[in-house]
Amino acid sequence: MSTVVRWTGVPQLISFYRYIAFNVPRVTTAVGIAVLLGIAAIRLYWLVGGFPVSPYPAYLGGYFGLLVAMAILAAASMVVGSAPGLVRFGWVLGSVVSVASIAMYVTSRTVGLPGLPQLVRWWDYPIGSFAMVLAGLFVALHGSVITGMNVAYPQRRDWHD
Amino acid sequence: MSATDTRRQEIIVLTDEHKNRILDQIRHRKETCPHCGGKQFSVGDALYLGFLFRSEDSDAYMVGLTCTNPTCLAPRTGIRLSRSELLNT
Amino acid sequence: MVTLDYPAWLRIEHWVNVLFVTLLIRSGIEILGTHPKLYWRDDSKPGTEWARFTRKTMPTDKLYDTLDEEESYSSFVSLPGHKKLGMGRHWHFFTVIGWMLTGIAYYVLLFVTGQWHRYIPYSWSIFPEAWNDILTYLSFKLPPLLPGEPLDAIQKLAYAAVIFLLAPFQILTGAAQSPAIEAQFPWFVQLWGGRQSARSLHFFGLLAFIGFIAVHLAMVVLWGWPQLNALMIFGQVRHLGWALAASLAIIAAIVVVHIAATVWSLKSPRTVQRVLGFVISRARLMFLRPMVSRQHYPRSALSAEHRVNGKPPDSDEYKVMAVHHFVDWKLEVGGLVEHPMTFTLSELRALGDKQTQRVLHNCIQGWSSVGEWSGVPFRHLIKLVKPLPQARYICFLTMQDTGRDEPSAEGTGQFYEVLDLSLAGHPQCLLAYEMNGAPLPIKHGAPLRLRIETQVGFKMAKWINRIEFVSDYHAIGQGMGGWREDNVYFDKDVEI
Repeated sequence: MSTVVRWTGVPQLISFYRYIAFNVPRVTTAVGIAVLLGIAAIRLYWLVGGFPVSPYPAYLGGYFGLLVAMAILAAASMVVGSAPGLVRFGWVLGSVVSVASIAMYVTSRTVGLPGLPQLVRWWDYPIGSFAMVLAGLFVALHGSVITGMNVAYPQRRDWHD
Repeated sequence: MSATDTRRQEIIVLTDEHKNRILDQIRHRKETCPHCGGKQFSVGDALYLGFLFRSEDSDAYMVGLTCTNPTCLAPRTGIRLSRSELLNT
Repeated sequence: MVTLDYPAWLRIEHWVNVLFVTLLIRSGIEILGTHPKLYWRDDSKPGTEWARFTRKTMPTDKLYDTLDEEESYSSFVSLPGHKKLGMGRHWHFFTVIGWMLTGIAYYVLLFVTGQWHRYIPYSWSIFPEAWNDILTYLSFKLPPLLPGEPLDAIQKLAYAAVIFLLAPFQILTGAAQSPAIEAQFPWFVQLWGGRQSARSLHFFGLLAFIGFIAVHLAMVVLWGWPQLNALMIFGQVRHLGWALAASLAIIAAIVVVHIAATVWSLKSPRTVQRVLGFVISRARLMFLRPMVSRQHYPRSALSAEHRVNGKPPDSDEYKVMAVHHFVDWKLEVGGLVEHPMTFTLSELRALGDKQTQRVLHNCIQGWSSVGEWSGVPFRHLIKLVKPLPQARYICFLTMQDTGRDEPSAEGTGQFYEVLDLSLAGHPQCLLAYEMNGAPLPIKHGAPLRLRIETQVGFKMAKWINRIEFVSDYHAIGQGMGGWREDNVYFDKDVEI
């Protein structure tokens, strides 16, 4: 069984991954914040009139507003160096925002959202694709912090040697 | 020995009290000069071995001894002591 | 206007580049693994690295050196893998020579034939066009090709960036890691932010090439592998089946070359050292040997913690000498000289003419530190001992027994290094007995070490007790010009 697992290359990939470590906490946090603000900016743009379907249902406006608020809250929490618990909350909230935005977008293009049948199968929408890229990036970045490849502010590596 | 030699960073300069105790240790161990067999030494400085050298225990020190026999052709030797032997002798 | 098509030289260069770039990536990772830590500052201070590619931790209660930090990587990612820096360097430099010659030919042919317009835009409008292309790709559609050209706008810009920016960037950041170039042109290494900054930037270049290859392959798949293959084999979209077969055969041949290089390096490293080293040394001696060190770093640049490579002689004789301030140590200078001489440390100091130099030390592993070294200029010693006309090399023998003292180095025996006599007259070639204003520390080679600043660090023998002038070094050790040359297959002349 373990031989079969080895053939998949997964253990080797995991081993390769564990060899890589970065000590750039401020850069990591800055990138995370930039990505979250990008996610927020796109929803804000859609909220104030850039959405391709007009008018759009009220619940969608509420969702955009909530997402913007949560993204900004997450970004703000990530810089409070004196409260590591709050920083961790910020990262988790950022991932929740990212996953929710991906889920909503995919749902709108597949199953469809109430009152928005025009969005179904409308994949060739650059801003939408870009928003998904940003969301995926944040989840990957948070994942890299959780799995130890990266550290986020205010943590630092204890590389004493 | 020039002034710069005494600033060698690894060297520990011993006090007279330490040196006297080490002389007692030498007499107790019946140490002799490896070259002339002499039993009288003057005590020099110490060098901490534990960090720099692979084979040494972490609390090993070398203390420099000089055989006082004026006819000895190779008077400079050393004795290995542990930290407790060196400091609490 | 020249038709931007696929002439034969362009197609050949493409496949040759696939071989060269992949060899450079794998051999580059081997070199990285030797000191798998990246820094921004030249001190390479332990703990300050911004990235690590190792799982090793070092002891705090025992002296460790950078040989202990070396990592062993799989042959899948590095050439040849398994902690073989000597081999990795040979492949890297041999391939770089081929790659640069290919690149020069490519540039010349591009401009002579007018094909340069396939990469250099005709107008600034390419930028808004490239932006539109990005939006089109994000819409999961393929953008239009530029009129009369084989590429779309974003592809054209990407290729231009790789060929005219990234490739020269890699060569220049690589050159900024050469001790000879750094020593002769300290401003050049400062241009990149320093030696370690150049190394980190060189690593970013590696990532950029890997990223480019991934996107390039994705593009080829998206746009039509069979057709694009045919263009890169026949220059036209025809005989798609044969084109696919030919490209697979070429890729298979490239893989075979990689495997062969790996196996050859692991099984017959001495042959690789001699064959590749022959070519690389000729290039080194031609372009880098004329360089002379003129470094004068300020005191403020001195590294608080100069890194250590190599452990001191673990013998009672050495320890007794050390505790007595090396009063009993003697330096014997002999061999093919008119006046063989012996010096104590005091006698060396009494020679006067003490020279001090603040310089950047480059270890072959990739780390660096800035130190101040003081001692006797070697040219002064040469005037005293007067080498005979047949003397061509200087052999530095040391008190280090590698089997006893250095478990992280592969091999045993007395550590020695051989230097060309022509280097001994360099203005910053020094026998150093002081470091940073104090007696040379034990971990840095007390009581005497060599400094020859145009060479990589391992040439600068530490714990020296004998210097012999010889006419030929092939009968010394295993005959390759030094302990590291004998045992880990480095070259004898290491200006880079």
